[in-house]
Amino acid sequence: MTSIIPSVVATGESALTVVFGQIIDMALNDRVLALDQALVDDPVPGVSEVVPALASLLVRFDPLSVSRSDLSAVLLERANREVDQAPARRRWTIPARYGDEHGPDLAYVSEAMGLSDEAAIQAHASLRLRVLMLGFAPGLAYLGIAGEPWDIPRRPEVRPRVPPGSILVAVRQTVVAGTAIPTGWHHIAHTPVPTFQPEAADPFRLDPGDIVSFEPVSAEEHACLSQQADAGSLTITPATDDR
Amino acid sequence: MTAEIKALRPGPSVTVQDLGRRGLQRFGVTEGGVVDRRAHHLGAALLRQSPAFASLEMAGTGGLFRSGDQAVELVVTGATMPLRVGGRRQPHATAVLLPPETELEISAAVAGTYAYLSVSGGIMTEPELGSRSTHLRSQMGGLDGRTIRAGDVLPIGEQALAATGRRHVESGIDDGAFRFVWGLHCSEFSEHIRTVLVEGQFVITGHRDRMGIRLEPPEPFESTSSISLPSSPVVIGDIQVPGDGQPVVLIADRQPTGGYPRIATIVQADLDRFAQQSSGARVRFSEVTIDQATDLLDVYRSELAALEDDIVTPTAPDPEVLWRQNLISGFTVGEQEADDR
Repeated sequence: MTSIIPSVVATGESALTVVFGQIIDMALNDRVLALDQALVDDPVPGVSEVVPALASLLVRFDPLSVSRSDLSAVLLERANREVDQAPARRRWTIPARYGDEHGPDLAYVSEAMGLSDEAAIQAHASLRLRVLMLGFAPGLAYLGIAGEPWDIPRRPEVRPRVPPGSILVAVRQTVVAGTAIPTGWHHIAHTPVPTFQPEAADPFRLDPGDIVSFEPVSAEEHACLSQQADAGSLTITPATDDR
Repeated sequence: MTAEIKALRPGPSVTVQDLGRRGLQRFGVTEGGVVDRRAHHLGAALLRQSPAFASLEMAGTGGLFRSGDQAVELVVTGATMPLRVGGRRQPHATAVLLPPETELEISAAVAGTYAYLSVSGGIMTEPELGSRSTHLRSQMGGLDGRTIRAGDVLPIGEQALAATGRRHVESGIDDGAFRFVWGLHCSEFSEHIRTVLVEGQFVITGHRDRMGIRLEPPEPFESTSSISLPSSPVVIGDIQVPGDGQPVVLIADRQPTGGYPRIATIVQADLDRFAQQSSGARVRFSEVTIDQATDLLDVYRSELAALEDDIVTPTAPDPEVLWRQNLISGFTVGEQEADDR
């Protein structure tokens, strides 16, 4: 794509937003994640919170203890740095049960893609997706960006509740829900692995930048894993990504 | 043994709130917390305790409560909700002692929307992700992540009981325009619509909750952009415009990120007063620069720190106060209040 020109915009009196672009694009997300990492590695005094999103990043600060123009200049300089590769993150393989009661919209999605259910499952499981951002609900991860065949519009009606662990697709992205949520996305699978555990020392399993693949499991395997999860003994271990 | 307060007939929107869950927006966690920060801070100041203690936020009306076997020192701030302790009227924004086994009645607001019942020692429900604030959408915090129901018993922390009789003297009513700075997507709106924001009169609709307050604009707010925007982080006070053209002001329980265009952001100094507007109220907005908004934040913070300046502490036990609290009898006040039961 053409060169990315970041801008820094004041959003309210206590925050700046660094904008890399206005579309959903991996290259823009690369720059968001690189800036996010730079702000972790080399924190700027006065910054209280950093929130990475798809193509922009919010920086909250106290305007009465640090100059807005100084902070803006620092952010712009860091945002303009060349990014050869996104920072090394973790790689997760998440067991998922596709279809039946765990994915009532699988048939709709496979038909929209012109595939059999089995082919659609294999297509989804072969995706290597990045956690683009978390948002909407605690621990809810937006994964992407899948190819053109996955550009399926959202449902016209909202389903009032899908359970924690629901795997949803629409508009070339996949969502893994950490809590029960209402949704207009297509519910194609479910993972018994808890991605949000408020009682844990580390409540959030997935970070922006992590790589995720799904591994289809049988109904019996899903039931077994669910039992372990209910007993509090189900965890997954990431590999360190080496891209 | 610690004190407690039992809900007998709570209003429909009573929740435990504190100053919210900070630092977790990147994980999709709503910051939440009290809608009217100044009113909550005032309650804490009157009771001489930290605003980190949780209070009960009551939208519209508080309801009927009862103390347990220990007295509870408490105060109601924010919206004016008529208060009765054991049937006797009590003044607003005044620390009172609720004797043991005594009913507390907090009636429907005569002014404002959100009132705060603060207690000495704080409401001590289990924190979740570092806060006692209730977030209904994710069923987090407070008492089981929901509004208070009849029969709920709220535990109270260790009480200092050093504040009874302290009262706040309000220094005048502000009814001016609500100040804003231009938002992230202001250029997605026409010059005409931006002028309407500055010059028009808007009505607070009944479609409102802790997440957002929907406004009826003088004409529909349409954005000029045809592409949908990628989700980006939201700031408190953002005025977001969904597809139906009715602006929504995002407040305490706003979602962490959003995809609708945001035309402006109300300055933090004006958000407490904005959220207290009743449904049906007419409001206006006025534009300020970022530097002016920063100055207003400075003034707002100073005001929060200086709440003690407008608090009157009785130097000796006030017989009238003690009589009102049934701690003494036989005291002649002069004329009885017309609405005394």
